[in-house]
Amino acid sequence: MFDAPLPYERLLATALARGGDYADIYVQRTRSRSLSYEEGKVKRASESLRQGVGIRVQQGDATGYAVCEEADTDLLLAAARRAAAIAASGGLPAGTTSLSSRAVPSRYAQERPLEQGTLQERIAYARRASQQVSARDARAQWISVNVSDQLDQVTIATSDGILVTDTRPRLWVGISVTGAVAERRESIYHSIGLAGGMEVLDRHSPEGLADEALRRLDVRLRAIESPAGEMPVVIARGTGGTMIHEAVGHGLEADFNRKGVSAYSGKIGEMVANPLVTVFDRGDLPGDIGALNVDDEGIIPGETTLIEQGRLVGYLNDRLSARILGVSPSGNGRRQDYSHVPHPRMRITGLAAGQDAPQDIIAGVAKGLYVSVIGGGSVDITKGDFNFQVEEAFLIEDGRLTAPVRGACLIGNGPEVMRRITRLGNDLLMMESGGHCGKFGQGVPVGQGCPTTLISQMVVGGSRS
Amino acid sequence: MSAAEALSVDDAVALGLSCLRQAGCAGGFSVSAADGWEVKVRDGRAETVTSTTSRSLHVTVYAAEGRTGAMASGDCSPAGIRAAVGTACELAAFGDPDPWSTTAPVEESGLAQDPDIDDPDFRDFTPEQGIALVASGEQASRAADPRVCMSDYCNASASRHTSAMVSTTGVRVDNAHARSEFAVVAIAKQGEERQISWRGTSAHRWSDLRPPAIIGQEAAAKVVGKFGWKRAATGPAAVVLDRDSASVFLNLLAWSLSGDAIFRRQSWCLERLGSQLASALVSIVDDPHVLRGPGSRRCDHDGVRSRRVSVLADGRLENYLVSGYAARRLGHPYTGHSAGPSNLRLRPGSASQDDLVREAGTGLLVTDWNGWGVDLTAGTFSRGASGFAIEQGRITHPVQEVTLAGRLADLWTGVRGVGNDPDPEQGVASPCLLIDGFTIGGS
Repeated sequence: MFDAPLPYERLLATALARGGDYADIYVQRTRSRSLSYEEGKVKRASESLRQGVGIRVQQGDATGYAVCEEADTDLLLAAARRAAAIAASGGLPAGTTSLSSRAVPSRYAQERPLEQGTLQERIAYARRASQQVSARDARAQWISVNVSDQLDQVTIATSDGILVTDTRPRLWVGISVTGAVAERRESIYHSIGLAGGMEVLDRHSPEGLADEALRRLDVRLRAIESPAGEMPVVIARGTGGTMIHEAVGHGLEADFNRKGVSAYSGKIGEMVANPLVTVFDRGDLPGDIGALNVDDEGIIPGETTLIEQGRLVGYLNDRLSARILGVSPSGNGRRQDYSHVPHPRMRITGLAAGQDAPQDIIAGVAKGLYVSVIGGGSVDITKGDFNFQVEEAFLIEDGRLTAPVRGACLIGNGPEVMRRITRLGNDLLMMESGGHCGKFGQGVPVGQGCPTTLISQMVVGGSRS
Repeated sequence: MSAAEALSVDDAVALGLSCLRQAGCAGGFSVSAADGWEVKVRDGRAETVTSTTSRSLHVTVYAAEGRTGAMASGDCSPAGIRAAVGTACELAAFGDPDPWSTTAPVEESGLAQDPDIDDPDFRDFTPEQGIALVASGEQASRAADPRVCMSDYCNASASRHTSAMVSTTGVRVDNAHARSEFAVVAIAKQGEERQISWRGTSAHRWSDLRPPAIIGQEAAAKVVGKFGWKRAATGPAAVVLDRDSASVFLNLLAWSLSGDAIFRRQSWCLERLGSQLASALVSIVDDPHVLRGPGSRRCDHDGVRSRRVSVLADGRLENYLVSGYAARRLGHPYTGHSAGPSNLRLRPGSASQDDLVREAGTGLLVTDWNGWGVDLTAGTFSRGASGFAIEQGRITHPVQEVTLAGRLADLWTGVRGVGNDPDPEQGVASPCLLIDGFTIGGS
């Protein structure tokens, strides 16, 4: 369908025929493969192919957007005219855009391209992981392993003359195990997700996947009910990136800030966190699920510092916010796919390392909670309240980890919790679990990480008061 | 594919079916189309106007002994259809046998009575009208209270979906439904404190949408009601869930009762058919036939005919909600639930929300949940919550930044009051509930 180049310059001219500040064409072809292996059997292998074009026109802070799934010039021109309806400032002379191809860096390893990976290979991987779990723990009642990958080819043509293509390979593996002892039943889920080719499976063995699943199941089956109330919380390295993502990341997306909607609006230059805290968002960590050679608006992402030693220094910008705020776009313009307009989105977000030895941080807490695996979270941008599900945690008693707990969630107010980060480990870790972020109904893959982090006081939701 | 090559729906499904039969496989083939627009509005002006049309096909192949393969594609040309069926067959060849993987029997398949979920006037609802509706909702929210200072992400949208599905058993089902909606988001300021809330309305027919003035006033009332909040003390408490938060709580029960969760043993409701799962005050029915009902439908994704199902009768579990696969695997009667619940209704009682607040005495009225903390396998619940404090049977002040936790089994048996106010716009709809068994995490 979209095998041949489209008449980009003509489409851009049509898109801007009624005026407008900017237009772009986003062409995408995505092939996805998924294998579901359950109960020791290949349950379902599936594939999907989606392709389409999104045409966007901006005038001021208004956006017109039209989607077309056919590589038919007349239908594409009609879509460009629909998108153009937003603008009425008077047309530019036709054919003003002259496109030149832009080279992109290479941030996805792809030592063994996805296309070379066979279904047999993915089945062998899933079978091995599943067999390891069932052979080593008789309590495991239901084991399911999923191996999926996606080859996402995009071409972006912009009215400021950029023509760029990017082919984004991503691979995910997930294992879910349900185990039981007597009447007690628990499920755990563990995943890996990276940008790259089949070498991801070579570097993350099925045995390693099974080891972590078994460890998680064993801890969960021993867990007691979580306590409730305010207490000091230590969050393990890596997984706490989810808290940073919710507590401060979304609040620093520039669309919320240019409109004054975020709890962080108008606070550039102010101290918004403990001076220990430096928060970054970057698109340039090779192989990370959130890595991008180019964002979805043709900008090559680098590293953006958001908070430097407690001081707010920057927002995450897409082209629209950058133009309105008078700054350069930071390469954070992302979209789920061609059927959606881009927004400022995180890529790989984290907290920079501190000075403390992680064991000293735990040793300094008399009574509290150590959170070792975080699940999903969300945030209210305006008030700044965030929350996340705790998948695995341990009590801290007299500076030592004791009983594992289950059924906990954590809540906090972002600006308040950022001030209560009082110790940071020297052990920064970036996650390889294949994070996913939702905003305005659009999902994008994101990376995250952090060092061991102490929050002096936080509300823990549990059923033991 | 050029437009000239596009097949009619009849030709597309006929070709898909003949490809499946040529391959000698059982299976199903469907084509669907969606058409629609969405506007985002701020300060009475369009911020984003998006128009979309899309077509796709889905094929599921059951080769010998239930070996399964599937393909989805946006390429609905003759070559695209042939390629998709070919790929699904190739994938199925790698599958392992599964006796329950097959097409639904003819006698369970087909369309139930027409619940009138399409909109004959869909074309008359334009993005310009959507913008005007939201703009007047925004105005109403500001007029309602001077503390409402701005709005954001207010949106209106309309979409219409059509699909045709054929199965190698010879069954064909055609579906069409429309949905329109708009929402008003209100941000309010009092001193240094800022709060955000939203209210919306949705309907199959856009002429059934509620008036924007009402939506705007509701959004304003909700957001200014949050000022002056406090935390609540940690400890056990009687909790009233308003109809919105109770409906979210009911939806968790629907997931726990899904046949797929049951055969995977990932539910706290295993092996409970015929037993008392909840308080005798709780009766739940899933009814897909409600005229213009928000979740109404004629069949599920497997082409299984939709039917009215009693889920809980006086607290006793009567049926799980099963996909065709789960029905065969569990030996459960077909219920037509491969697409989840339709209109899942908890039977209202006679008490108003004020009555339940009075009955609670001291506790918490929950109006919003924050976050995900639910484990359906273990049956543990722990989520952020906000709402209002209840003291001496009356609402006193707003409450935020607390958590509520408990075991789902205890909470459902702990229902001691059922209200009379379910929201007819929600597919999964509960009236307000008074529940014992929650623990508050707070100060």
